[in-house]
Amino acid sequence: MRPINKNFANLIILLIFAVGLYIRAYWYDDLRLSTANAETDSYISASHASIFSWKIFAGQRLFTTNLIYKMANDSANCLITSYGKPGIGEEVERAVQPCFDKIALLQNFLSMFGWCFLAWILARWLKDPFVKIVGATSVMLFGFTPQIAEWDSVLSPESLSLSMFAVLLGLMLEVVFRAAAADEPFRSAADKILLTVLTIWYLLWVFVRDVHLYAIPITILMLIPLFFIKKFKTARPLYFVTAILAIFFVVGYLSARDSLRATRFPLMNSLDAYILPYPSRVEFFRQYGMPEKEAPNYKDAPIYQAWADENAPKAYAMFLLTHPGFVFTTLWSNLDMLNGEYTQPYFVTDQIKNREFLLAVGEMANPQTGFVYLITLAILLIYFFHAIQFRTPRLSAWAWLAFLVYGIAAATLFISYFGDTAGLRRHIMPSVEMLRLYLWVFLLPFFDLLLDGKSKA
Amino acid sequence: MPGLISSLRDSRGWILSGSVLALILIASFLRVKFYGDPAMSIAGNDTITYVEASQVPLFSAEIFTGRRLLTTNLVYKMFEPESGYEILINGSLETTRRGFQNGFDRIVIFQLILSLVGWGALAWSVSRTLRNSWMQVIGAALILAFAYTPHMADWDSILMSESLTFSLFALQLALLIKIIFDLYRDPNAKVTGLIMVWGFVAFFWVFLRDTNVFTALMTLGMIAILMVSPRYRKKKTLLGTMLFLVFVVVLGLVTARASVRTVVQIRNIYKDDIFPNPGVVTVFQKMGMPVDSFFAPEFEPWLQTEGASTLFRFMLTHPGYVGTKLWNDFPDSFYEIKQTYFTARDLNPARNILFEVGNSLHPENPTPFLASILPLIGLLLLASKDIGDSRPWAWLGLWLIFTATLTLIPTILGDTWALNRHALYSTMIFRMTMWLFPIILADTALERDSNFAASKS
Repeated sequence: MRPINKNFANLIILLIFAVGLYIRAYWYDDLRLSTANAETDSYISASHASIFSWKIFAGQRLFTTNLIYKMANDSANCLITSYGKPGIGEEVERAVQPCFDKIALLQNFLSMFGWCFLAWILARWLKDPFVKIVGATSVMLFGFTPQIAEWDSVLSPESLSLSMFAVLLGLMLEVVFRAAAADEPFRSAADKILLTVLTIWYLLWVFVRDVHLYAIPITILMLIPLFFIKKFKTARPLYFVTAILAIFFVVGYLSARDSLRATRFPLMNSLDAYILPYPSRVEFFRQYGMPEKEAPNYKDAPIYQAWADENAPKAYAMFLLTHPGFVFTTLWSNLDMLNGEYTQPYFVTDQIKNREFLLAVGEMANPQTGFVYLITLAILLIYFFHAIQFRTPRLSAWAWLAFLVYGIAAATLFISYFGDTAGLRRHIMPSVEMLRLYLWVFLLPFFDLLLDGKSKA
Repeated sequence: MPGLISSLRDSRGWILSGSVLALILIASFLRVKFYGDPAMSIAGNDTITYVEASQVPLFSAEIFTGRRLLTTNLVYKMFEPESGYEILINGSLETTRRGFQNGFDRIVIFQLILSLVGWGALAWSVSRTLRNSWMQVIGAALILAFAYTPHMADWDSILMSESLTFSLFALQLALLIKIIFDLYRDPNAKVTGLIMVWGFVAFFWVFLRDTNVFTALMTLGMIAILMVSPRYRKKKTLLGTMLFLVFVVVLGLVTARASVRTVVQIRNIYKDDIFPNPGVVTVFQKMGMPVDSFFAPEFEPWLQTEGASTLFRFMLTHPGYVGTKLWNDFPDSFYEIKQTYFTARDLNPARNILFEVGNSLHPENPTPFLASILPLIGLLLLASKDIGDSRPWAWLGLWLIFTATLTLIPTILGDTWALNRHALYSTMIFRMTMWLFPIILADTALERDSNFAASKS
């Protein structure tokens, strides 16, 4: 009966994908349509850097987006004709913009592939046929509803951040479960190739947004305990991956520091909002040599600017670490934003068919509520206690992944939130959506493990 | 020392029960303290209809068939002062502050007491039924937080039927949990007394709103399904309960059909949904409606006699209309669930904090629907394998989701006014089960672990 059940579940999932892909491809209108926003220009100009130069990492924008925007950096032929400015109430129609149509198409195809890929791999590692179908459907609905899908028409990194993450999570699931099941992990050629693909994809994702860089220390932190487990002690590819990640963390850190893109101006915005209006907080920064800000504008305050470029990240990091009360009250007072809806604000949506229907489904799949933070934490704790009590390979794999993904989502959310105050809603969106996705991806295995008596054996 | 540990272990159950009881008492105290003078009330446009409907003689058919139903008629009759009711503050006209209104003070205090009893009983019942001690405390705390945040608690000051609906529901659910689990653990358990108390509460709850009768019908069906099992087939108490429910359903349907209140709702549907659509009007004319305008003089007499049955026939023969209306109004029924009748800024900062906590527990979007259905699927899957206490929980889970759905459908189809307020009972259940089901699942998982650990040792 089992193969029939399994194949039947897979067939149903494929049918659901077919319907989902049809809707995703046709209801959202021409997939080449796109809209620029205030930051698109900076992606275009940063992409002029030579691929073999330090500037490709240390420019205004990061490596991966620089590569992609090379498709549209010919200023003579690639003209922006659709530019959304929600800050001043100007939403525009999307347009098929020369050169940018390729980027929009790439974002849309990557998104369609990415969410189906994650849904399929999730289902692949679940056992109960019904849970498989529910799991795959939930993930697909999550990615194909306007809350996520409309960003694929916006010329900024949110779409890439989320779609690439979906692929990344799919690859992680595959690699982690294969390693958990194997007696000698990463011994076979297939495992090695998969690990290589995962590592390359991970690094490409890291270099989409600065905040992704902080996923690396979390990942290394999760990899280190594996080296104390007998079967991973001899898994040399894992050592290589850890070393590569460490190297690229340094590259990312140095490139961000050299370009000042993460400090000038994002961090200055944060200091302006959270620190400078409060004398007691300023006093803390004085310990780190902060001078008077000679002028309200950062650019017109050379002494302050010189200090800030060099010392602000360290001082601010220490401030956040030593002031949990500030962190808590700031987050608490902005709960509405953390629980908000993140549909794109740049273009008008008349062209999208049955949008109200899609939005309603999306509201179910993208829980806009503090429920997400409490339940994801509860899921994490239950995995933790289970994994400690029963060290079965399957449960340990789910628990390890649950910690890794939660760590990445929480760290990137924390840094996005406190790292800038301009465009805050857009900046925290990918991390909040990661946590919302986490709910579905890690809740369903929980049923699966409960249902599967063998997991305890 | 070992003696102390052993005695602590022996009295663990008592300590836990004491902690939960203390939690309920503290939460009840805070509920009274943080919401201002419990005697303050506020009316809505509908309040006058409750007052007028309660004027009919106690032993008359009108007590059932009037503008309002039996329970509110009795409550308003019971607490009416000699001088009669006088509505001084109407929050429907303008959001304002609550105040003291002679006679109504007794009603709102009664609503508050019932709320404390109902939700306290539910917290106690759930906590006593869960097995894991952490889940017992977390379950009780969540139910109390759910009920005592302004999204729910504010309704206790409002002179309409919502507060009674919530409180009597909580009380009957608390009793139902006890009955179901007693019968599950021992089919010969003596539950007659409990069932009689439950029947008493359920009777008055059914006669709060016309749509509640569908819950009675559904409960009847669910008990009938239970009778398939030889374990329960010969249980006379259950047969008696079924007969009682038949009586309640017949009484409910007959009195609703004979009442004037149905006409009011049907009139709203004709006015807002039927007449604005010329195509639909033509269909109704073919079905015997003599006019093509809501304002035609012949319409009202026809509405009184044929309006409801024609509408019902139309819905039966036009599932597309029903489906579209349900789908369009379904998401709307989850929005704007907070009361809009009064403000109470003087209760800050506690009130603001309570709102922020409440916003997390009560999302104002359709998320709770999917977030309830998925864990319910998990519970049903567990029940199919008879894991832990999943079977009685699955029965209760289905009962909850069916009652929410079966009352939501007629709410959407049966009126066009105040959709979100009328749907509050249904959406409240989805919001509550979104929390309750994961707690039950976690309890099942943790209990299963400890059983497994015990069997291993």
